[in-house]
Amino acid sequence: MTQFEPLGSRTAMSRETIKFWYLVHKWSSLIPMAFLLMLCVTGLPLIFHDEIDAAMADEAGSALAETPSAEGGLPLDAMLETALEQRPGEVPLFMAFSQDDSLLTVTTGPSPDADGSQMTLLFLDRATGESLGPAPVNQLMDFLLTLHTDMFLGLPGMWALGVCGILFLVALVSGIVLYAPFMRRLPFGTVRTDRKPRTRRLDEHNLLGVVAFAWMMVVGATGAINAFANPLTDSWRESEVAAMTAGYGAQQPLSPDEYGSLDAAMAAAQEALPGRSPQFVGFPGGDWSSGHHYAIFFQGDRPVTQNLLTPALVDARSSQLTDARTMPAINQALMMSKPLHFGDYGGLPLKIIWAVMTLITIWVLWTGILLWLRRRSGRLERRIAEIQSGGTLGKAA
Amino acid sequence: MRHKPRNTLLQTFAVPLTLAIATVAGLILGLTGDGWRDLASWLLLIVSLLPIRAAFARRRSSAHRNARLGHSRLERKTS
Repeated sequence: MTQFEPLGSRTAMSRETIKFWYLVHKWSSLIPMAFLLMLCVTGLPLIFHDEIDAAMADEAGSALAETPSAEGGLPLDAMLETALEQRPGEVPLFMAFSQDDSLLTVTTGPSPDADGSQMTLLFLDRATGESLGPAPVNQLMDFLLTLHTDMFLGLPGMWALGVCGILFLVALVSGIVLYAPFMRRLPFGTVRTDRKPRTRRLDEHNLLGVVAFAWMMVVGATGAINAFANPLTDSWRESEVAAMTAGYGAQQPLSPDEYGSLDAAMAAAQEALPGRSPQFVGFPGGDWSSGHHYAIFFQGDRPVTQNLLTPALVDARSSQLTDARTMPAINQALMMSKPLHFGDYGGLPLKIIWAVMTLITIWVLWTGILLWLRRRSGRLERRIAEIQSGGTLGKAA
Repeated sequence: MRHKPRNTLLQTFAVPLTLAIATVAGLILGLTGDGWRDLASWLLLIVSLLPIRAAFARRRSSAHRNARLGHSRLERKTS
């Protein structure tokens, strides 16, 4: 007999192997358990972030024109001026475009490298040139979002949650490994209600876990990737952007009063990347650009590449294109992972499916806790016998 | 204990693997475009969840049956 078990094999998994995977499953789920439950509970309302925001905001969005601000409207330089008039003394950090209506947003801050907490998000209408004032704030959703991303702890909080995500993936894989010996004598979908509550709970844990496995893997993995988004953006800026702008050497970063025309910059970028729709502009000195460039991020030109952004770096003083390069694979993975984590790419039905999957995940976590809390006292051997026998030996042992 | 026939690994994972493929296909199909792709994505994801419904429906009916059996046994005893 070889070590490798072929798919058609009926040989039993050894006790030692089961013990190893049981311990992996137990600890990889117990350690991040409280965080995983928090992520599920806060994630549930966040799935419907847009809908909740739209319902709570007044008609700010309803009066907008249908021409997407990404495609046309009043000159960008005029829009930027209107935005900065509302925040005297501040500098522009980002400008973002809508693909659906004439909404244009401008983010300002006290300095080009301002921290997120010092930024102000302004809404403008690119069709009329009117300012719509600061973006409406939804304190509850902001609170949930911060709890979900970094627990108010900044980068260390994000990384801690990223590690929880990785442990969740380990728990899922080890759970699938244990599913094999447990189900050796049981047909798929077994939920035994005529036995002890523990048997029913084990059956539910296994069934729901295995059915939602693929979704939990995808959302867990994309969540973990998102948790490490900031270092990935930093590494892109420090390697790629630095290489693209090597010609600027040690020049001092451009001061905001030297910024040239954004419209001319956009025209130069669109000449290099024709037919693409802009998503946002990172201004010089921020996390998303160099000290001398407007970094204009364009969407891909096909639905599947819509989330993959290509930056064009345009000299912010002369409005001449410096370079346009696709981002490295790891940053592309980061961009693709966002929709797959949020579930916001397939309309309301997909969001409802996302919510159902989240409830299933909560149930799998909860039955997992109960199986651990209400275990009969005893050795590890009893747990292994339980898995090996498909739950039938649990009462005999 | 009774010796039921043992499943091979392939038999154990046949349904779970099918469900996982349906889920992943649904997730990716929705990403690649709108319209019929979104519709196909919803259907695949909903189909991947049907076994849970089926198992719980079965559970309810068997619980019902057991309750009835218990009841008739009780009647026999008391009569």
